[in-house]
This record gives sequence, structure tokens and C-alpha cells, in this order.
Amino acid sequence: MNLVSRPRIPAFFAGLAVLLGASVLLSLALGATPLDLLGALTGSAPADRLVLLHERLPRTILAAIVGASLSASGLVFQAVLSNPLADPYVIGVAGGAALGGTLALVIPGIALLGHAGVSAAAFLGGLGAVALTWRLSRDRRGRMRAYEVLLVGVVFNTIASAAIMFLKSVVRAEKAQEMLLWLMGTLSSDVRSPGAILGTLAVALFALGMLFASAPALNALALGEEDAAAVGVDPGRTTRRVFLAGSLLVAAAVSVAGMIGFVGLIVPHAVRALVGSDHRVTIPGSALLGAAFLVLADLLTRLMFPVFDTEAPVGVLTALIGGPAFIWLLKRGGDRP
Amino acid sequence: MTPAPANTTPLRLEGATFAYPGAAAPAVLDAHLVVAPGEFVGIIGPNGAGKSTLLRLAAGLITPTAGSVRTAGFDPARASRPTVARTVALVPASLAVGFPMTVLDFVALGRTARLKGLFESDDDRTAVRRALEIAEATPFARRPYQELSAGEQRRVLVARALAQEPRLLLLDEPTANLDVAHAVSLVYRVADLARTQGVAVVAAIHDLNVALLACDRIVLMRDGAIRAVGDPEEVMRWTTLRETFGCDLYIGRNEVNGRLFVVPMGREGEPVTGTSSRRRGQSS
Repeated sequence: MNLVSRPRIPAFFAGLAVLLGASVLLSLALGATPLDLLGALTGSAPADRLVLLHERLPRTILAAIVGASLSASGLVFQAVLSNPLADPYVIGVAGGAALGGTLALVIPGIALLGHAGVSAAAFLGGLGAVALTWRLSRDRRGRMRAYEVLLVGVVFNTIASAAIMFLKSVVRAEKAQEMLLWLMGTLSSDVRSPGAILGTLAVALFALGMLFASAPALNALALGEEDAAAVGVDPGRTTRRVFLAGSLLVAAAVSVAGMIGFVGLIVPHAVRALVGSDHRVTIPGSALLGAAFLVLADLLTRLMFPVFDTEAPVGVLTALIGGPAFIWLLKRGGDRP
Repeated sequence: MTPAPANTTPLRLEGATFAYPGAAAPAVLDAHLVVAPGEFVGIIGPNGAGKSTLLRLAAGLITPTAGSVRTAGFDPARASRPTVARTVALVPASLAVGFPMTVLDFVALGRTARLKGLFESDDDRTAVRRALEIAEATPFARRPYQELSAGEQRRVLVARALAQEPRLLLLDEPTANLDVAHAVSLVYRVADLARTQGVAVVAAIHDLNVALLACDRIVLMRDGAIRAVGDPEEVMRWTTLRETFGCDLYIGRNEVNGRLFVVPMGREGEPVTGTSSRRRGQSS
């Protein structure tokens, strides 16, 4: 790969960089009330500075991390499961994280810790689900089978969502509303501490690095397991590594933002339609496009605040925009090299 | 291509046996075979004789249930996949690929085990170009693999294996779907590679005449067992072939190149003559 000069790829990354930069600037400057960015930075507008540093900046960074994480994990899950409909939530980690977070919202002891407790519980729930999926989807020789990972994940998610429904039905109405908002995915929660953001960023960067390093092996995996092995790739090891990294990304994203839908399904397809399926290009490409997409979607929810007098969960918006966009992509016959 | 050091044997099978789980009889039984550098060995035998399984054993894709397999001194089923892929390349019999891909990208995947980082170096690019050249796949290098004819895809698969710069090249039906000119050209090019670069070649070839054109030695398999090994003159005997394939074959000598050739006989034990084939042609 990269043997032919591909003028589209440098242009693609340049375009993504501009898009992400512009999205971030817009997201910092605009919102329910516009900010004087320059004044906030120079200190001549102290109130704006406060909003910028303690509200807009952390929220924008979170949106970017979550968008990148969901898109990259969706991309690699589609590749290792050989299933274009796979998204970050198909494997059990999403159900585990949702259940963990929901439990934290209703258990009084953890609820007192505020959102940090919910995030931590969701992350642990996600990792617990990965461990369980891992154990259940191995054959007698200890190899993980992509097909069984998918099946176990779907079943586990169903069980988790039943448990969440049960919890929702037994708690007070306002608690149920809080759970619903969180489950639909939102960046308006109070995850704003530098510690939480840096922690999420560290996990996401580590996992993205792991995925990028596996990119050549992922490319070979498109040949099928036996052919991949023939060209020097251990399919089992690659699948395990990719699942682990992808799960870390999903757990990190869900723990700070709940279940934001569709980003992880549509962004990978858009990237493949634009630049082909070389993972050395599509992994960073999906991360960048996903980051820009979620930053913009979150900005939209904030811009809608004055209209509806409340903030819709960003997950609702991504599905409302993402759904039609996805169908449009499908109809124009995307996903070609 | 990297010249093969002469100190290790590219392929050594000692009593190699493999049974697929649940199968009544082993697919390969007690196979003994030593292949030297630069040698072109053809495996022939009827369908289900165990030819492909033997190649998969040699490629380390399956672990022998008994006996041993050594490629350049190591066990290909236990060594790391990149180590194996730098020594052994397999051209599989099947052509399918999951994702859309250009021929160039496809052949470049043969370099996976030799990448220094995440991207191809100039050496990698050169190896890919040479592999495409040898396999006569350069003219369609930029086309999508999926859109090629079966014969073109076969040449691309050979190119991918050559891009690995192996010391042992295993080919599973390399000439299936190829027209006669490309089939002959391909085996000659592979034979040249064996002679000039010292690459050991083991190929399962169903077309006996193609095998006879280029192979130094012939391995005759039936029911998982190697029935005969030797140079074509020794192995290609009328009785041996009848036992193996269950039909009568006429063995002749090509007066132009001195090589043996094989023609199926009529049902009554007579050669298929011009008259009889014309009669068949008219009735259909």
C-alpha cells in the first residue's frame, strides 16, 4: 500500500485537520451565549475566561476524545468481525459499561461521588464485560472466534439492557430521567475535572496507538484468517489485540459520555468511501473525522438550547443526522477503494 | 530475491501425518519428503489425495497430528507467523477476498512480515514490482483485484507469494484457470526462479502435462499417502498411474523437448484417436 501516489490522502488529512480545527474553534466560541475568545484568552473578559476554561474547553476536548474513540473502535470492529454493520456497541463492553454506570447512578454510596463515580463504575463495568466475553468466546484451543464474540456480545447487551430496564422501573421518576439522559449519550454532564479528562485522553491515546500499530496486520486480515497467516500475521493475536484496544476506547467513551450512537457506525463508512480501506489511513482518518463530527454535533445541541430551553442529548442528534447521512452514503454506493 | 543459504534444507517431512478433527481417515499419512534448494517438486494425484493438506502442513497452517515438519530447520506450526512468512510462501487454491482492494495493495500484503515500520520502504516497493513482473501481473497492477478474471487473480496470488521473497514456495494449483500460454509461462518462470535464486518449489498441479514440463521430481499421492517419489521417468509409469488415478493413461515422449506427456485413453484401453473424438464431437 502507499505504492501508488495517492493525491487524495494528503488532501484528505489536510482537510480533516482544517475541519477539526474549525470545529474546535466554533465549539469554544459559540454556545447558548457567544464568548469573546480573544478577551477570554488575554484576560480582558474574566467571566468569559471562566466559562471557557471550566466549561467549553473541557467539554470540547471530551467531545473530540469520545468522537475519535467511538469512530476508531467502530472501524476496527467492522474489520475484525468482517461485518459492515458492526458499531462500538456490538460487543459486550457497551452493555457492561451502561450497566456499571446505571448502577452507580442508583446506588446511593456511589451516587454521592457525583459523575466521577459513574464514570469509574461504567469503565469497570465495560472492562468486566470484556473479560467475560473473552472467557466465553474462546474455542477449545483457546482461540477467540470473531463470530462468537459477536454473539456473546449481543446476548450480553440484551441481558444488560434488561437489567437497566429493571433498575429504571424501580427507581424514582427523576432518577429514571437522569438514567435515560445518560444512556442516550450526553456531554453536558459534569465531567470537567482535569484529572478525568487527562485520564480519558491517556486511555484513548494508548488504545489508538495500539490500533495504529496493528494496522498492517488488520489489512492482511482482510484476506481471511488462513491467508493472513500465510503472509505472516497471527490472526488470533491480532484479533485479541484489536478487541482489547477497541474495548478500552468504548469503555472510556461510554464512561464519560454514555451511549452516543451512530458516530461509530457512520464515520468509518464515510472514511472508507473517501480513501479506501488501508487501516494505516483509515484509523487516524476515522479518529480525526469522528472527533470533528462529535464536536460539531455537541455544538449543535448547545446552539439549540435557547430554542427548546433544554439541551437534547447529543446521542439523539448524532442519530438524527447520522441516520439519513448513512442511508445517503449507502445509496450513492460508497465503501469502494 | 534473497539467495537461499545452502546450509538448511527448505523442507523436510518425517512421517508427517494429519487428520482433520472427526475425519475417519487421515488426510495425510506418514509423509516423508526432503526438498533441496533450487528444486521444483510437483505433487500429483486425484482429487482428495491430500495434496493441499500436505502444502498446508508445510506452510505451518496446521499442526501435524504425528511426525514432524521442518522448514529451513524450524517447525512452521510453532514458529511465529512473521518468521514463517519470511521463509515460506503459500499460493492458496482459493481466490476470495473480503474487502475491495487494488492488485498493488493485495500484492503489497505479501510484504507484511518484512515491513520495517508501518509503511513500505523502497526495498518493499522493489520486491512488489519484481513479483508482479515475474507473475506477469504488472499490466493490471492498478485494477481492483475483485474485477479480474480467475486466471488473472491466480497470477496475482502468485505475485503476492513472490513478494514475500521466500526460500520455500508452496503452490496449490497455480495453473488452475490459466490459459495454456500463461500456464506454461508461469511454471517456466517459477522454474527459472528455482534454478537462478535457489528457491525450493513444491506445487500441487492437477494438469499432469504442465507438471511434466517443469518439475525436477514428481510426488504421486493417493488417499493421503505418498505412493511414489522420483524423477518423472521413474514415477510416470502406466501401471502406477492407473493404480493412482483409476484410469488408463497413455504416456508418450514429446520429440521436440524430450519430455514425457500423458494422454487419457479410451474406455476400451485404446488411445483417444482423432476418429473417436470427432465422433463424440458430432453427437453433442
